[in-house]
Amino acid sequence: MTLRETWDAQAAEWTRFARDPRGDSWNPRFNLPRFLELLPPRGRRALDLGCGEGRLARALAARGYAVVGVDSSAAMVAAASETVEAVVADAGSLPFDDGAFDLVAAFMSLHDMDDLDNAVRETARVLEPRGRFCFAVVHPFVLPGRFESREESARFLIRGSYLDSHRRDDLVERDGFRVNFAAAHRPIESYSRALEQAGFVTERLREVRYEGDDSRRHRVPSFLHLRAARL
Amino acid sequence: MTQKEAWESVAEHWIALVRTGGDRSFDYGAEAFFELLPPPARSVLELGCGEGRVARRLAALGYAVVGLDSSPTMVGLAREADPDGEYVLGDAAALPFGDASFDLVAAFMSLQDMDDPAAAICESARVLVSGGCFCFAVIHPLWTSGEVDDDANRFVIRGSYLAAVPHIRPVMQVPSIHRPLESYFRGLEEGGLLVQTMHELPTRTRLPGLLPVYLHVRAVRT
Repeated sequence: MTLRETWDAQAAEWTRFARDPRGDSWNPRFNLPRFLELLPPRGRRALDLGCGEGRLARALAARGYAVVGVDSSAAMVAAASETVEAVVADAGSLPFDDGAFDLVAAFMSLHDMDDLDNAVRETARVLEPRGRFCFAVVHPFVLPGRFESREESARFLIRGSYLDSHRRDDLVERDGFRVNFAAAHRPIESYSRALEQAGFVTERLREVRYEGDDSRRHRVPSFLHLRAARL
Repeated sequence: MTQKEAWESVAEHWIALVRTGGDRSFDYGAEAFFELLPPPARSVLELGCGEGRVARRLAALGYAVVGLDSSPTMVGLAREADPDGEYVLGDAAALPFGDASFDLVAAFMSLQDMDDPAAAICESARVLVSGGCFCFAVIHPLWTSGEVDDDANRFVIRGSYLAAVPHIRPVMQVPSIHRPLESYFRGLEEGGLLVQTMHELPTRTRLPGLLPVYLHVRAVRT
């Protein structure tokens, strides 16, 4: 099963999870606020790449950005379309003209795409020169690992490879939700290479820190945020 | 003790180690680092040159090199080993050069050993011409945040990746500071340097191929 198929198959459950405060708490609490700080001020037109049920597009629209979402899952796009403009398309073959946007934002979506290089290449194509590409992913240093226990002093363990890209499935079942956080682990160099090949330079990198009561998580980064400019 | 003082205090140990072929980071990472640099005939500042092994190699490759280090012992030995070379005693966070003096600043395995790498990066940006490159190699921040658990074939982080943590590098026994990746990028951003390339060099001896041991970065000044 591809990542695309996995996420499409759980679109309804994901939508329920993402819109319920008992479901997704990290993103509204600290990941999305930090990501919004990373973005340039609203401009001509923004693309939300891998929009899912539309949480980023809604936040952008609320801040006055002219935004359109795109996702490969028709079920996700149907959910997003309840509140924002969204279209079904593959990130590797975007239905937009060259230079159609001055901002492409991919919030927690690049690691759910099967083909990073083509998604980034298409992103460069639909951006105008000096347009910005901003993305947030689970930090690659922590995606391939986990804490050994729930103890405050628990060690963080990485078994297997950080440097080799590979799929990871992480089934979360709690509070009546059941979501498989399926993702492609990729080392930072893979993101860097995709950006370089597509003609981007990186102007900001942030390692987003967990905010909350689980004290183990104050010792490792939670998310990686990166802002790149198209040459 | 500052990093500057700590390095002066281990200068003799370092030189003995390097000159008897004990510098693994050079043997493994230097050629890949040179490939990252823009081609020769450029004026280069080598930041944290130590006893001069990288500067001598850059000169042999055809670059016009000035080496800088904060340790008087290191600079003295660099001059002794290369009487025709130019070696300057100075602080990377307060460079004794005018704005736009160099086409390239190269920092090979030195930023992680400095007291204030972000200030060193900003100073590097200042002495670079517009369009000039800043290239650096450091021990990879993931690698310095933990250790290999050989028995269990895994990498273990006990402390904090996110904190700046002074430590003695286990193999070479020299003073260094673990810092998260973002701390280097904050310096680059403040200096107006845009990152073009990041390379992660794989482990070779312990957990071979699985983890990154060095990080190489090339950035360009706007």
